Amino acid sequence: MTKLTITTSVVLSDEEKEALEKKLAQKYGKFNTEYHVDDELIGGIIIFDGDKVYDGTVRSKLDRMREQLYK
Amino acid sequence: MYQMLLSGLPLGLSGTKILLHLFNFALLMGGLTLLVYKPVLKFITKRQEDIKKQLEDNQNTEKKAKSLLAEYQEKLDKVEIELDQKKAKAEKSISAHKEAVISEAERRAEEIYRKAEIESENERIEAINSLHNEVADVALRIASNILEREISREENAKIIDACIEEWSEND
Repeated sequence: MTKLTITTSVVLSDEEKEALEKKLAQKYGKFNTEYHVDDELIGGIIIFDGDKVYDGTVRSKLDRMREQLYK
Repeated sequence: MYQMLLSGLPLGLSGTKILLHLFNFALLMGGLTLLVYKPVLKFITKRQEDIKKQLEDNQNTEKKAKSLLAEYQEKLDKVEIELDQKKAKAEKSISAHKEAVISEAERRAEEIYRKAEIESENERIEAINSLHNEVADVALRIASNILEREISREENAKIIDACIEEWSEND
């Protein structure tokens, strides 16, 4: 069974977790979850499925913007 | 006359004595000629020949000396000409060397100036880039601070939903 490590900037409520897991089930089917909180992310989510990392945080977007500005 | 000669002449002279004296004189002259005149003449002739030979030798020596003098004068003239030529060549070489040194110095000075220009330009670009990056950092920090304050839970949820939809489409 796949294990998903989910990191957000704020603590998700149970409803929010349920809604999120419902959407993720379409891709992963059955899975276990491990939730973490990191306020440095500002907003958005990071999902690690054991193989790939999906980074949709505001922090990463700001970092990409910095790289573009540094060019 | 004959009798006068035989009997004696005035002053106690006699013919016999006169003849004897004449004979003596002839003998003396003959003896002198043999003993003195001929050797002296021979000596004088030899001396003349020696002097003549010496004069000839002197003339030859003088000729040789003049010839040597002319030869050495010619050599001296040649050496002077050679010296002048070498001097001219050396001056030409020095002048060419001087020009080469000046030219090289000018080239190096230009190179140094060009390098300094390039360095200066690079520093200017680096300073601009540094300033650019600082401005970017400041802008991003400000944006980050604003976003931290302004993103609500609902907006955060929307961001998460948008990410998941995007990943699902890409997969």
